[in-house]
Amino acid sequence: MNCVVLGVSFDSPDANKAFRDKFDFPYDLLSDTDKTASVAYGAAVDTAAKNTARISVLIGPDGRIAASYGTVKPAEHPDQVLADLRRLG
Amino acid sequence: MALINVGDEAPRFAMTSHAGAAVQLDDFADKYVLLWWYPKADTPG
Repeated sequence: MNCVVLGVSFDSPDANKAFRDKFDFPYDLLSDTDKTASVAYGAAVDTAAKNTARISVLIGPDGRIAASYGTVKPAEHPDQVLADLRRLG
Repeated sequence: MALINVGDEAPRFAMTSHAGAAVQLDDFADKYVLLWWYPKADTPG
């Protein structure tokens, strides 16, 4: 499926590398160190936030928001996103 | 805190990956991109 998966948090690249290595994630983890992306997408209230909310956002090939998920339950979330991708074609 | 609306133009971003690489939204033109946020590395789901 033509979908790139990227994790985002305020953690440093080194912390993310350790996290990724520990769990062997197959996707990239990004450091939003200035917090601007998290604020822009609604994952953080403002740039003073200490952590991000556990949300996710699906961006379409047209560069627009195709779906957003305000409360992510990790166990169910992958199936939810796959269903949306199939629906969106 | 307001989650971004479906249909909005996706804000451009540029961030650094775990491997130290620069990653930006423009790298993925014509693809779906799922961004998922987590509060802190290595915390339980």
